[in-house]
Amino acid sequence: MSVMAGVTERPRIPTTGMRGGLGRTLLTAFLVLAIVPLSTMTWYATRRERHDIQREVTAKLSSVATVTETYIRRWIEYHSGELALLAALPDTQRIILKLAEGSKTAASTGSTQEETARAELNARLRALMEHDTAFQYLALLDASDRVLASVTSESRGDSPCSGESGTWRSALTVEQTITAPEEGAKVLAKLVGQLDPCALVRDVEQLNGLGTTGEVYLVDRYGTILSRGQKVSSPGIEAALNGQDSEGLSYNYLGTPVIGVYRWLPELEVALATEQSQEEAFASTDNVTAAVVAATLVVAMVTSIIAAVVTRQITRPIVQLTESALNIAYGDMEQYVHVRSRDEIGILAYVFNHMAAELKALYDDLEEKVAQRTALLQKANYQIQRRAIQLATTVEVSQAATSILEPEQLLREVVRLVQESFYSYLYVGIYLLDEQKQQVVLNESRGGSKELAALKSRPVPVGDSSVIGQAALAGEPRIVKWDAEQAQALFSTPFVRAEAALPLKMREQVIGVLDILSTEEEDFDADDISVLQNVANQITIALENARIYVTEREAARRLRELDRSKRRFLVNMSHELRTPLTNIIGFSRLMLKGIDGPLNEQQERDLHIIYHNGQHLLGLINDLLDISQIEAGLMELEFREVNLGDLINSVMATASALVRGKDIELRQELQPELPPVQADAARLRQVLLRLLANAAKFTERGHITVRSWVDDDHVLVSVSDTGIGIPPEDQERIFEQFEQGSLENGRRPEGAGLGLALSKEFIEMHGGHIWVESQVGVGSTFIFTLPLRRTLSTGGTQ
Amino acid sequence: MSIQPKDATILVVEDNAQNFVLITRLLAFLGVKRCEWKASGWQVLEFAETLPHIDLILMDIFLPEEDGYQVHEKLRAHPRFKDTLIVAVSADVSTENMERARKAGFDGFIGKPIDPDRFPNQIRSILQGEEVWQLD
Repeated sequence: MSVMAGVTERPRIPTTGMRGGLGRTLLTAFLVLAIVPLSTMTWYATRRERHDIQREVTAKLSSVATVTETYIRRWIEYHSGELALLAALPDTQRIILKLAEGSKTAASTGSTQEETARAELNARLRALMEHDTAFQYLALLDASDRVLASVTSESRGDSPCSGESGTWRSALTVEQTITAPEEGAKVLAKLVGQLDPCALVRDVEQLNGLGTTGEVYLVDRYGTILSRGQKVSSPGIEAALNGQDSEGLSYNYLGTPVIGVYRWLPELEVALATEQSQEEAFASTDNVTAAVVAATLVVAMVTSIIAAVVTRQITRPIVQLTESALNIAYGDMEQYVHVRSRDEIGILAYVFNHMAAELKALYDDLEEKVAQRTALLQKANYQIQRRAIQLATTVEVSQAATSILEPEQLLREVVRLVQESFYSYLYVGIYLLDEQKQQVVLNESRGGSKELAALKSRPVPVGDSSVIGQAALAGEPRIVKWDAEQAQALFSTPFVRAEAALPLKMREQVIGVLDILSTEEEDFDADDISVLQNVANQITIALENARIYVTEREAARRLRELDRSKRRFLVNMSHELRTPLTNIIGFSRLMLKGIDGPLNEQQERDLHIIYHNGQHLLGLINDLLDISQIEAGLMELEFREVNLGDLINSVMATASALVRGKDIELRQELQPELPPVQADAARLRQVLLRLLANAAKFTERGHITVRSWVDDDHVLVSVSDTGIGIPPEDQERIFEQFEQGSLENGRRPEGAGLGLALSKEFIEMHGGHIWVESQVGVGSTFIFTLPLRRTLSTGGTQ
Repeated sequence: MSIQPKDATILVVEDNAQNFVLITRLLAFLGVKRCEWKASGWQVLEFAETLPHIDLILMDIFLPEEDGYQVHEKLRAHPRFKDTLIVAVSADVSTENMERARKAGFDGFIGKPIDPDRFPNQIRSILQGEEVWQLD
């Protein structure tokens, strides 16, 4: 980790995890290598051991079984022998014969001789029973199996050793036949002895020598252990009960794992089981196993320690190498690995250090070469970039020329663009020709010190010795180069090396000069000048545009001002004209009402004339003002939702005064539920009132009808009369200003024809149309439409 | 709340003398005996306070000094004229102006030029407690 110390800012390398991984792998390998063969060998040895022991124990058990089998046979034979011995005694024979004789002759019991013989026999049998405790019952039977005498042991009775098998019982019954000496083989009587099975079983079970857990026992054919009366079942016993001898690993009546040998004794109908618990039998192998496992653990522990040490020994240098390699990968070439060992890892570290040093050298060399090549490439690119920047500047200047219309702002932006395009352009200024055309004056500049700016702000006479004066005079670019001394003297800075002055020319007339100071001597070659002249031309055009814009803006401002004064004039006119007129109308009406006292007929007629002409003049002035406002584009309609039915009703109420004194009927035919329209209610009312007034004016008798209905997306309103009618040639003309119907009939209707022209204007401002359908002598119908959805309005806004 | 024209005191705020004359003549025709005149929007409240009693103020809207709305606001702020009938009389006969007057708290609106045929009835209605809002 010490190698990492210097490069903490880099991403942390997870070497700790790597080291642990390698160590673990090695440790595991060591452990596996040490433990697996050891375990395998142990397992194999234990297995062999067990196998041998099992075989040995089985052989031992088998011999015990054979011994026991033999013992049982001998035991029966022995006791049979005891009985035979008794039978063979001459005294016994004599007694038996006597008893047998007695039984044969008749059933004459109670003979004294017999009684005596019986008592004697009984004594002998009892003596035998006392001598040989294995006998439970002794009896003498005659040839026809009648009991002649019997002795029974006190212990006789049902015992668990008796079992349930009759064969077992009968096998334990011994008999000795007694034949008459003179009659050859004729059986006179039988001496029968029954042996105590418990005695046999007890003897058998005591016959052992099989260690502490060795057992021998007998099982009857129903699986009952004879000494215990307990049922038992195990593969070995099952096999034995089926008449087959067997041996091997099994379980005893307690469920303990045992090694057993099982025999079937057919003559006794019992199975003989000899068993020894596996635990005891294999005790020696278990000890061996425990020892081996302990040894394995010790080995594992020792191996682990050794493995840990070895692993650490191996991995530490590898980890160091890895960290160094990673550092190189991250770009840190300064790597040296300290490994002292002289093994392969030591060699690897040495080689690594060598490689790292080589790599660093190569890398440094490469960087140097890259730097060289980059410099070359930069040089080569410089010219291309220069052209590109110049081109971009030209484009930007041209964009500024078309987008900026304020001359000051434009010059500021152009000067900024040119000066910022090249770092070597110390100063950029634009001079414009003054009104006397004798000198150019600095209008905008950028860059340079305050002193330089002050020096450059002086006006330059056209044609003086400076590049600016020369360029302004000749209309050609002028370039001059300065050394440090000259620069210091002229511009109070030693860094200026070249100056270019480019004329701003408009139609061969010089209007100014673009002046540039550069810190690079080579800055103004032919290509540069060509591009800069292009920029200068753009500036000229832009300046011209800006000048035109300013002029036009001024013109527009004046026009707006004119409009405002016109509107003011109209409003004032309206007020000034109407105020006296309303007074004329008001006071004449006042007099007509007799408020100022009674009037004679003549006065009243004259006043009527004043009053009516006043009214007419007022109407005319109102119309004139409306027309003027429309034409000045000052008329604004107030669009609101208007209920046409209500509007017509209210107009009709007013119109009733118009037909007073005439034989005219006012009719109204409206489609039910007219939809609302978007309209200026006051103007619409004005139009309707005019149409009704016109109809009333030209109709003497008949009727005037207002209709309204919906057609597609329009509402139509018509005013029909039964008046004089309008000839076809006049039907369009009447909607023009100051035109009226034909005067050929000699009648000259009162008033100028502004009303219909105004109505036409209003309807069209609503987006509708107005026209007339008429027949001379029959009547006229004026119809106008209103769009249900207002789409356009000319000359006005809401 | 019904006032007979002959008992009524009416203040006319009107800058045009001839209009005022026309109005007073028509009011006289109606039977109004006490009619006061203020010819500008300047100190209308102060003037009104000097009068012992006012039933109705007819207020022009375009006035020199303060306009009709400003004068109206000042009058309404004074406890004495809080509930006095004030009717706008204006040559601006747009619905907009009338609605503005209604919102400001005027009690009625009569459009100019006043119609000698209808004016007496309009005033009579107002004095009887009816509302009059008429553009023409």
